[in-house]
Amino acid sequence: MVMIAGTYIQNGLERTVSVNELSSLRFGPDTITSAKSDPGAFTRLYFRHYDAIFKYCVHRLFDRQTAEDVTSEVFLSIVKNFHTFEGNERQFRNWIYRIATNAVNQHLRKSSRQKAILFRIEQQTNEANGDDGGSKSESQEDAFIVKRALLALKPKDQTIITMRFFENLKLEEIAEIVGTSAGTVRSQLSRALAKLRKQFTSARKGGREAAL
Amino acid sequence: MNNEKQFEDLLRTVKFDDEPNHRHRDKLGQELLAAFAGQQRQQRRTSLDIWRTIMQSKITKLAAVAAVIIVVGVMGIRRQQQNPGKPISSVEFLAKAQAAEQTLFAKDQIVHIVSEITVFGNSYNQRANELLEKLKDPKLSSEQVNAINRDLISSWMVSWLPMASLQANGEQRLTEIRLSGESDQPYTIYDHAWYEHSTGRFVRIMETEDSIIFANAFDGGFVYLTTAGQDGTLQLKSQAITGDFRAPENPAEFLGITAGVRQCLSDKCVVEPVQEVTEDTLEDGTSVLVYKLGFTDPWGKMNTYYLMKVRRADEIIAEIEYTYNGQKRLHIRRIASETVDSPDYSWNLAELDSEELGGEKPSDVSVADVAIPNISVRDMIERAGFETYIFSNDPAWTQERMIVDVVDPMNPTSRMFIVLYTAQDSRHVLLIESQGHNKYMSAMFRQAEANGQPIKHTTYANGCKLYEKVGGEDFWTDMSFRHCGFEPAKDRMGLITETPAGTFPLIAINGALSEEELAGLMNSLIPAREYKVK
Repeated sequence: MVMIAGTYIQNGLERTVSVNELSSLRFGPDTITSAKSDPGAFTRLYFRHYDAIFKYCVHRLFDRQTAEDVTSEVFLSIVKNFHTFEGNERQFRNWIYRIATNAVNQHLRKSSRQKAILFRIEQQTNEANGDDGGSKSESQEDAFIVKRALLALKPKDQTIITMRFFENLKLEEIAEIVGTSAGTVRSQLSRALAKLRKQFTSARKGGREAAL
Repeated sequence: MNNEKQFEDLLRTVKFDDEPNHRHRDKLGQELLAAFAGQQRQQRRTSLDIWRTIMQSKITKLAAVAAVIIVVGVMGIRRQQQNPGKPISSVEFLAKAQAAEQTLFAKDQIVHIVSEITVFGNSYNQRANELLEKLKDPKLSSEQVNAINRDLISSWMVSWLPMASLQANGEQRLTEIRLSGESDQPYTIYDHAWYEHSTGRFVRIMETEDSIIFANAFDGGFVYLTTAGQDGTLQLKSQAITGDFRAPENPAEFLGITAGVRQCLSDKCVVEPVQEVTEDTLEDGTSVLVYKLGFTDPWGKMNTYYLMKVRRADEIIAEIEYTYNGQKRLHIRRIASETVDSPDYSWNLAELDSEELGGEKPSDVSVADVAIPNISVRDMIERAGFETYIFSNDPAWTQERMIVDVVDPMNPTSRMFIVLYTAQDSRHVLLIESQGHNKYMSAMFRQAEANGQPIKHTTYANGCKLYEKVGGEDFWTDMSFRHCGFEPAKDRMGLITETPAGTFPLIAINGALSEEELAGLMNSLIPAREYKVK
């Protein structure tokens, strides 16, 4: 079965691309160079990275609608600044993660947005339990508390934890993205996790006491 | 939950609704293609602007010394010949000092450097106006006029702190921080710099006890810089770095104790060679050599100077004192240099709270761009606050025009405008206008008239006057063109004019004009508000 994955325009012609075709696309060393002038090559590059960036945005913002908006913002920013980028595709990936991180952080700067996100998380958790807010399972309750605790962390800490645990990136990969050494990421991650665990433990304890 | 492993496992089980929506992906893909095509058109236009981009940095340098050019130049004072007996060039000295300071930044860990900057009283605004009033008194003797001039220059040239910061295109930008216009009390600022040698990332935060007054950072992908908004509040701008950007090789050029100072004492400035070297001991017992370097004032004395206190052990500058006209104005000293695990502020300054930025701008601190290149005629009219003039037609022998808005060194509350016309035959033209200069020249000319020694002039059909030479034209035109990046021509001209609006534009031409060309130039001066875009 051929699944429709997307369309792109090359030389003015609109094409439909299947997942099979997408996965078979190969990126040579001059992919970035050709993508700067060739809309088709750029579109291929976009399709290759869209999912990762969208997922990263969801993992930071916990809401797919907001994540789609921020993802759009990220890729439009990439188009705008693409001519200034120099490097291979791995460096390109690091670059777009950095842009996404900045866009997400920028979005989260407004506390009203954070409150809206918290509200939506709770709503989603309740919906997952048949609109019965009182019957969340323990794991769902934990997930809710984790997300809330993450939002309370500094953006830098949120970034590293998300990249490590939700994107499953290696320390070396995170280090490349944030522009530091793996050792520094390791120690930053350790500190960030300690803060998160403290927040989590305290919130869970508070929740249980309230329930009693 | 006490077990770390258990907690990490819990994190891995958190579920997200993160399946991409192909409809959004495709729609965005289409939008990107349209944006991509638009961007490519923009790129083609941008490449035509390279010449202008190059010019911008040169103009910035011009702005940094504009005060010296105008004040010293117009008053007819020539630069003194350098004394061959003093072989240490101040520029070489500063370059060496910054190279030494670079070693402070070259560490495996993140470096944190703190400087304490004390700014001494600076009620120049009010004093300058009083002095200008006094200058109009026809009964003044020449000695009294000189004394007032000395005070005036003192009031213009002080009370600002040069700031060099890094922009997203890799170019440095000069801003100045002016402190209270009315207070005579010393003011202390703490200048924090964190720098990571391996990545080039940095954060610079300048703060008073109450709030941040300046911030600049680079996080690897974006550059963050504070600017003063129209409403006077401090705003943080973030920009993705461009292809021209390179992580700075020597952070000492814009971080730490000498940041900004060297830019203001470039080799094209009037700074004299190092005058003397003495020995001293700092409060903490550090043995230092004190280098004195500065400017010769219009009366041939060096009452304006920097004292650079250099540690004997490693040749790094530990303290800088700036004295203007015999009065200490700035004292900068490094109070900490350490390595840390992480900066107190994120490299990504977008994470700064607006509260940390002070929310409302402190009433006694303002930050202004030293130079804003490429503004329009309309911008100039709106920002000036006085009647600006421009040539109705660009001089026939010139090809390009650029207007630069720079800080007015003589009048801290207003701006100066430099209109630069470049010519292929090198006869570039500069038209310079500022409110401070207008006030000063008005007072000086009235003074001359009152003393029965009016300066002769020619009046043109448009009512503009061209004054005869008053002296110093060679000096200020030389400085002006050098700082624009042009070799001054031997037959260059410096003109002082007066418009019907009572303003005194200066015109510099890098080469000789025929009588006809000069008349055409003068007659084409019109109020900028009457200018029609061709």
